[in-house]
Amino acid sequence: MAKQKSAVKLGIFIFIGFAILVAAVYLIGGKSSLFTSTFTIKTYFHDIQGLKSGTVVRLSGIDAGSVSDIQIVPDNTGRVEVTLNLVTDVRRFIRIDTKASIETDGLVGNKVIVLKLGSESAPLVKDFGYIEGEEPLGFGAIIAETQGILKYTKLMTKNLADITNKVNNGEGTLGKILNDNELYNSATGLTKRADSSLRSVTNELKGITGLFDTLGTGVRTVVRNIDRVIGNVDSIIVSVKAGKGVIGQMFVNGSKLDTSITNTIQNVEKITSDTRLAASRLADNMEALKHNWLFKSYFEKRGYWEAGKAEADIDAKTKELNDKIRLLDQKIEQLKKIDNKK
Amino acid sequence: MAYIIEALNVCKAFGSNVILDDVSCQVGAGENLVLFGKSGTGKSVLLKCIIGLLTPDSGEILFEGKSLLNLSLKELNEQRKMIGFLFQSAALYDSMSVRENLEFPLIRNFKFSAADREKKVKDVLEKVSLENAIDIMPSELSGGMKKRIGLARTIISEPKLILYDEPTTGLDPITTKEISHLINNLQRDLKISSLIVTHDLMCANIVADKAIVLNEGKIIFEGKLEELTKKEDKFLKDFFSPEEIQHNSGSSNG
Amino acid sequence: MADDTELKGKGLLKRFFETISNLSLFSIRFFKEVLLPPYEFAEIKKHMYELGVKTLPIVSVTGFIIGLVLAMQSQPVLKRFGAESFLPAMVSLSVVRELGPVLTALIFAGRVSSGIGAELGSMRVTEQIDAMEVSAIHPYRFLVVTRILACTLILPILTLYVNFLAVIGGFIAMTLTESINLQFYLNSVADSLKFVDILPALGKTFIFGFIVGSVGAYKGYNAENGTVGVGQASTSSVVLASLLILLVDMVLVKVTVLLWPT
Repeated sequence: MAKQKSAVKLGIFIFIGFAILVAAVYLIGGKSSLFTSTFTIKTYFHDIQGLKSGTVVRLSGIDAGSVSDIQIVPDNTGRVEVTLNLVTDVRRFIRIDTKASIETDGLVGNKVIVLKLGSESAPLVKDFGYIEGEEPLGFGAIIAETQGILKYTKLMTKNLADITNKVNNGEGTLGKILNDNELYNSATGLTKRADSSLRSVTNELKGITGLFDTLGTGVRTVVRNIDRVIGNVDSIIVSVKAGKGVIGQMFVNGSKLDTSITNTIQNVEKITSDTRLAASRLADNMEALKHNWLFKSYFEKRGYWEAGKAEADIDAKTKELNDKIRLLDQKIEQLKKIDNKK
Repeated sequence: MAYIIEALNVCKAFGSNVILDDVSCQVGAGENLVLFGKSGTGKSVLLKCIIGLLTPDSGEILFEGKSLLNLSLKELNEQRKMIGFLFQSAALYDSMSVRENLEFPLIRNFKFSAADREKKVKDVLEKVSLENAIDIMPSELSGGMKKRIGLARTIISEPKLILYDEPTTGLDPITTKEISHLINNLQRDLKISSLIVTHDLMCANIVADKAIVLNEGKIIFEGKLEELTKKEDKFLKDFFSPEEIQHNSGSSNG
Repeated sequence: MADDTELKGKGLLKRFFETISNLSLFSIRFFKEVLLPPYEFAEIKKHMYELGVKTLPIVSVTGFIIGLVLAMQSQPVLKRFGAESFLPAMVSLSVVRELGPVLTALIFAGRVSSGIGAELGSMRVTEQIDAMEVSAIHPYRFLVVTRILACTLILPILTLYVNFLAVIGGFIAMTLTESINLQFYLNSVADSLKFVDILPALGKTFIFGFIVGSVGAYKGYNAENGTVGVGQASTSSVVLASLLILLVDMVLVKVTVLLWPT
């Protein structure tokens, strides 16, 4: 009997031991860097995009630790404090101007925190110190930007259309252009508007280039070309303004103006083709987005998307962009005709 | 007289169920002791206590004057090599042929050459008159043959003492006689002492030098078999007069 | 009578803990006895051969079907992700890391644990184990150690074999819908598998084999109540072995992830 009793005791002991082992293994499992020494830093975001505790932290693409805690800061800013556990090996790279950003890892959209190295001269971050968090840019932002560009393109095209209309409806000669004050005014007005539009477009596109790194250098080239075109257009206007009268100026510096207009047309052509390239890539991307259910669910989750409507929207936008490009082509043709008539 | 095995004041209980209550018995050298009793009166338990399959709650087991209790397994096994045990079911290893069964203890406990082993196997088979059974499997043997092979396996290690657990149970009268005479022959030829647990009178008549009767864990008779049959005790009368048992079966076997 | 049921419940819990402790002691005894002579190499070899032959057909079929079904099930899902090219990697990783070892072990438990339980159980109730003991032979060393060792050594081999068949099964499932060549398939399987995937999973199978062997042997070795006990030993050893395999796997998976993070 005594033997039986001790067997029961031993059984209970082993049972509890096993239960503790299981619990320990699973609790330890929560902290993924168990066997390496770590240190802790913190960062803030306004929107952590569903980031979870345990998310990997990367430094130059290397797994350098994990997110150990996420908490909303108890004030009115709505910021979220994210605590990062990093392996001590990377400590010497984490300086106070190191930036943390939330990015998407791979196809399936796992979030990772990416640390961008700071400057070498900055001091190292202390334990439990803070680094700056860069707000993530969602696809929603990208779409808003794209819509901005489309708006400006539309405005520009409309203005161009107006002026060409006026040219067409006029006598159809260079004299007519030169003598028609209204036309001149509207031309300068257009240039001014186009100027500001283009500047905005430039800014927008610059922003976009950052986002659409994957779109390649196309967009950047477009932006540069637009800048140059603006410069050219400006110089035309300046020279016109500087002349005593428009006609006199034309006769005095005819050749210079002549080449300027030709250059402008060429530049506009160039910019059009670049825009078309960018637009087609954008369209490709949109098409890909549209057909990729993963991204779709991504948008739906964030309320940017109402499945059917959104697809239709994208289609419409792409079509609109292409229309505008065609319109630009037409205008270039018309401008060329004017140039030839001159 | 020098006893080869002595069980002294052995008590054994399973839970609250007392099986052996202060049982003592001795087997002299070259003697056949028969242990009688109804089924379930602890005869087999006594045998298992002696060989160390069970540990008595109290009492002492002496083999050639040395205690078998409180030995390490290694020391106990040294003693066990000198004691044979024939199980009620013969307990042949049914995954092995007769030859392998017989060789099994030889290979592991003694250092015989293959030729010696072969010779010994043939010898013991001859003793139990089953020379032809050497290469068959136990499942193909009849009950009596199994008992003989079991006996052969027991004597092959040349023990000084054999404990028989119901050697003739379930056998027909002719086979019972054969096995009983075999036990006598072994005793005579090999000078082996035996402790035989049985409830079979025919077997007991043939083999017994001395008899002990167990009832409800206690020894109620010890002496010559002839004296036993003359006793006036109610239980002994029931035991040894089958006709009367049949007559009284309604009342006594409640 | 209320006392009665209460007593029964208590008895059950008591028996549960007793089983735990006795099984643990029984298994720990193995490590002591396995080192002591006599070494029954012939027995171990015999048991390994028997276990292999006994389980080979069923694990072959299972392995092949696991791979086939896994690939067929995953294909549409991966297609939705546009990640069909990951199919070989997915099949091989799932099979090698988890499905292969665990399913093989479970089948092995069903086939072998019950077999050992029944075999030793009937040896126990027909007094063959006692017979060994009284003829001064260690029944544990001769019957139990050899069987546990045979199980421990054979299961990893069976698992490797199952893994291989499952990968082939996956290939066949793919050829049903795609035109893919075996070389390409095997290359992508080989590319996706790392030692970190194979070795811990294989190490696990040694433990599973040990569980199967020791549970079957424990149940059989301690069988009671005659032929009924043999049946009980046989069935309960399958249940217990399967349960333990899953429990241990639960712990080992986590340990593997902790020790060898990918």
